[in-house]
Formats: sequence, structure tokens, C-alpha cells
Amino acid sequence: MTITCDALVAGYGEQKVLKGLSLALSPGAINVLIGPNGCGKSTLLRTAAGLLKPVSGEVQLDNKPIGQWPRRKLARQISFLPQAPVVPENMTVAQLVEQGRFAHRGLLGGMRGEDRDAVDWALEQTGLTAFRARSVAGLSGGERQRVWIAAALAQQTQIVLLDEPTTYLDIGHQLEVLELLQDLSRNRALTVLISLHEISHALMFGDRIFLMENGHLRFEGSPAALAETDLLQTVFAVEGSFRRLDRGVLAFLGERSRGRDAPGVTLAAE
Amino acid sequence: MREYETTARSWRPWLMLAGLLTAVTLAVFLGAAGLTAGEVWTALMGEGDRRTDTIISHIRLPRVLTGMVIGLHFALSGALLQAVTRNPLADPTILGVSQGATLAVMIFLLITVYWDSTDGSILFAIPVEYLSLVGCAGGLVAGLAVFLLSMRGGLSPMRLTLMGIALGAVLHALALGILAGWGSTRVESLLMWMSGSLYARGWQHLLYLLPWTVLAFGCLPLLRRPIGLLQLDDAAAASFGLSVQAYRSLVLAVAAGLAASAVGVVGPVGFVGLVVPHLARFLAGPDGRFYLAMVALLGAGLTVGADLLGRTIMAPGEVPVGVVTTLLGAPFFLFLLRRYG
Repeated sequence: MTITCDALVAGYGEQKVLKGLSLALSPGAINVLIGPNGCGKSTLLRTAAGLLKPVSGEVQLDNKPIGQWPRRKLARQISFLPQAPVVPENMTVAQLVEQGRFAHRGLLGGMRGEDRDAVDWALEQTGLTAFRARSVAGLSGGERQRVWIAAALAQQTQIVLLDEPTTYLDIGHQLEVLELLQDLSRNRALTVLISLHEISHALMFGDRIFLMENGHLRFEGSPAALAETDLLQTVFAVEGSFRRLDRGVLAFLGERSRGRDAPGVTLAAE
Repeated sequence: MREYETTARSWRPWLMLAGLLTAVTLAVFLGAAGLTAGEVWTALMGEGDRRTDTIISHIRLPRVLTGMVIGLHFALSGALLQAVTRNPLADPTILGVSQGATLAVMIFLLITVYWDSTDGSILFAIPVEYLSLVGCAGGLVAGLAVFLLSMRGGLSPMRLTLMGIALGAVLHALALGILAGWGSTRVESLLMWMSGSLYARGWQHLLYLLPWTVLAFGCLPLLRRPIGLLQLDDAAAASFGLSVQAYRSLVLAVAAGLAASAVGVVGPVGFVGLVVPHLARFLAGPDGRFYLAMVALLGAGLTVGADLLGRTIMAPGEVPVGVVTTLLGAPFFLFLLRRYG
């Protein structure tokens, strides 16, 4: 089961953010969205999660338009973590993570054994077991982000969409989250679509990279294939180069910006 | 560990229940009529003389029970609205329900009683039996208007709050305008209603309220879990599987029905809807399992207590229950402002 987007046009009111974008997620892999600020990463994620209705084009899950999936059924297939969600005033870590079980529990039934197991497992995976009785509002930004990730994991879906989940985390916790997702996709065939700002993390963890620019898809393929182009330099308007690290991991070192208005033109001062 | 935590707190709802029963018992036994406990007891057993029987079973008992039910209505309505607007300072006035009810009652009285008449004594001929229904209808119309005005913004909590405050202010201004143009001899009965009084509330008022109470209690088990989700981002709640718009509408409808029916019967009673949910949260602790039950019990108990205080503190004179709850609730409100400010 996977998500496909076909000629998506979507946005907010008159403003169109996605301008005819098509892509298919690689199942059981880490799909990474990269692109400059405002290129439409969040809009694509929200549309793919069925939260934003496209103006034209279609998102399909399992060959069925996503708008035709009932909410709760959809939530058993796809979980979505928005960027910087509001933190509720009066919830403990365990209570917030339990919300992730809503689609499985229904309106009336209590927490069954499998629900408790899923919550315990999600807390353990995110290193939050000791935090379960703490109030979410009293946690640090990084800890809160891990709580949200735990809630998405507790949902136990096959597809997880995450909108810049590492933004508020320090480097250690960033890598922890990405390693966790990698582990889940390798061992449990989880399909991940994640937007990242850190290009090196995208190259390091992405099985498939989607490079977006101004509502369009500019590149789709493996990190190695991306390294053979100069698209990163063009799209982000930087001078820079790829480096090969240990174990064949690629990194991109941005060295100098080159002015967004005149791509490809070096600064006049040079 | 988890089991231990929940049992450690499970005595609290029972404490609330005991508190409510104490308040109700005191409210039945104490009053301006100065009956002894023995007299009240024989009247309750159905063996009292005519006077005590009238006082207990036609005045005091229905008044206490009505007080219980309206307290429960206001408190639950406030709890639902605070959750759905994600605003800890929300209460039934935020939907314009109280203001709509007030205006409706005023217009009704203006047309039916005072139209073309200058006779002050006609005050005693107020069609009381319709007031509750008119107030309820006015409150529901105002709530519905706020709901429809907020639809365009996808019922976002912010838009709901702003629309409710704006419409409420307009309705309130209209009501004050009518009051200002009103002859002074006629103001009294209306002021009594506006300050939220349980005076002379009988069994028929309880009958107006109970269908709403039953309806709300039927919905609450279905709403308990969605209320938790509605406190999150719309996007987060939807991705967890909640049909956000549908459940937000349902919660609003239940809250508006509870508030409008209560306002219709006693007039706007301040601060119960605002303060009780916080008190219940404080007592329920982080494990919110008994939260709504505690809101209901506390709302009922505190309102009965406040009414008891209001009618005994300067007997045979009477302070309307709405004044007592506001005077008691205001300091708590300031405490809340400090906490959230």
C-alpha cells in the first residue's frame, strides 16, 4: 500500500503552492522531501495526508482517492506529524501518546492490551518511558517533539508522514529520530515521507530524494543520482560540493550563497 | 504503577458526590421559612401539615433540584466549550448564548406584557411559564448564528471565539438599549431574571431542563475521547482519525443546548461555567478519567451551595444565586488569570 500523487494543484485560497506535482512513494523506504523555504513541502505533506483538499489532481492511497477514505480508516493507514503542533495545556506524555490509539480504539471501548502495548512500545522507542506521567507542557522543545513522534508511532500505521520533525532537536536527538525511522523502515517495512532542512541528513538517511522547487518536482531518485547533478546548487542558489564520507555516505557542503535572484551568476564583488 | 496512580485518585469523585449530597441536604433543611429539622423530615416523608408540605415539596425541593441541574448544565457546557475553543477562559457567554437568551426574554416581555400599557401592577402577570422556553430559544438561535458565522473559517477555535464575542456584545448592547428605554417600574422583574435567580423555580422548570440533561448525558460518553483530541491541532487531531468538524459541531451543539436551557430557566449565572472546569481539573489531577463526572458533580454542588448561601445570608431577603456565584468566582478568576497570564 502506498501513496501516489497525480498532477496535484493545491494551496490556500487563491494562492497555489503546488503547481501540478506528481510523485509515488517508494514503499518500505525512507522518502525525503527537500527544497527551499516556501517550495511547498508542508503543503504536499498535508495534501498527501488527506488534510488539504487539492484544487485539481489527485492523491491516491491503495488506488482509491484519499478523500474517499473515512477518517478513522485512513488513520489506521497513514499517520501525519504536523510541523510544531500546539501543545495541549493539561495532558501527560502517556495521555498524548494514547491519542494515537484513537483510530484503533473507537469512541467507547477502553484501552485494550494491544493499545497499551503500542503505547509502551512507542514510548520505549522514543526513550520516553520515564516521562510517561510528566505534563507535556512542562517538557523542553526536543522532548515534546519526541512525544509527538511517539504518538504517531503508537498509531502503528504502515505509512508515516513527518513535517520537519527534527527542527527543534539537537544533533544527537535528530540522529536518534532518523535512525529510529530507518530502523522501522528496514525491519517493519514502514513507508516514510519526511521533509528535512538538513541536506546531509537527507543524503545520509534517504532511500529516495524528492527535490522540490516552487511547487514543482525538480528531481526524484537516489542520493547518489542527485550527487551527479548540480541541481542542489541551482535550486538552493549556493556554491557547494558533495563529499563522500565513510561507508559510502554522501554529504553536501554548502560553501557560499550566490544570490537567489540571479541563479548561476557569481556575486559582483568577485 | 499505573494501576496504583488511578486507584490513588479514585476516591475523589466519591468525595465530590459526598460534597454534593451534603450541599443538597443542607439546602433542603435550611431556609427562610425557619422549619425545624423534624418538620422538614416529616414533610419529606409525606406526613407534614399543609404549610410545611407546601414549603418543602412545592418550593424548596424543586428549587434545590433545579439548582443542581442548572449548575450541572453550566459547568458541563463550560468544560465542553473550553475544550473545543482551546481557550481556558471560555464559558457559556462565549457563544453568545446568555446574551441571546437575555435579549429574547426582553423582547418577549416587551411585546406580550408591556406593549401599549403603562400599568405597573401588570408586573405580576408575567407569563412565567413561557420565559424559560423563550430564553432557551433565544440562546440557541444566538449559538447557531455564531456557529454559522464561524463555518467559513472551518470552525477554527479562534474564529469561533471572535464571532461569539462579537455577536454576544451586539446582543448585549441591544438588550441594554431596550432596558434603558424601559419604564423604571418594570425593570425589577427583568433585573431579577438577569442576575440569575432560582427564586420561585418549581417542578415545571425542572421538566424544561431534564430533556436537555438526558440528551447531553447520552452524548457525553461518545464525546469524551474526541474532546481529548479536539484540544490538539486540527491537523494532529484529524491525522489521529477524528472527523474534526463533525465532532466540533456536535460538542458545540451539546454545549449550546445545555447552556441555553439553563439560562432560559434561571437567567445568566456567571462563573460556574468558567470556574468549575478548572476546579475539577485541579481535583482530578493529571489523570483526567473522572474529569467530566467531577465537572458535573462540582457544578451541581457549588450552585446549590451558592443558592443556599444567597437565600439564608440575609433571610427573608434574598441574594440571587448568579450574584453569589459571581462574587465567589471572581477571586478564582483572578487566580486563573495570574496562572495563565
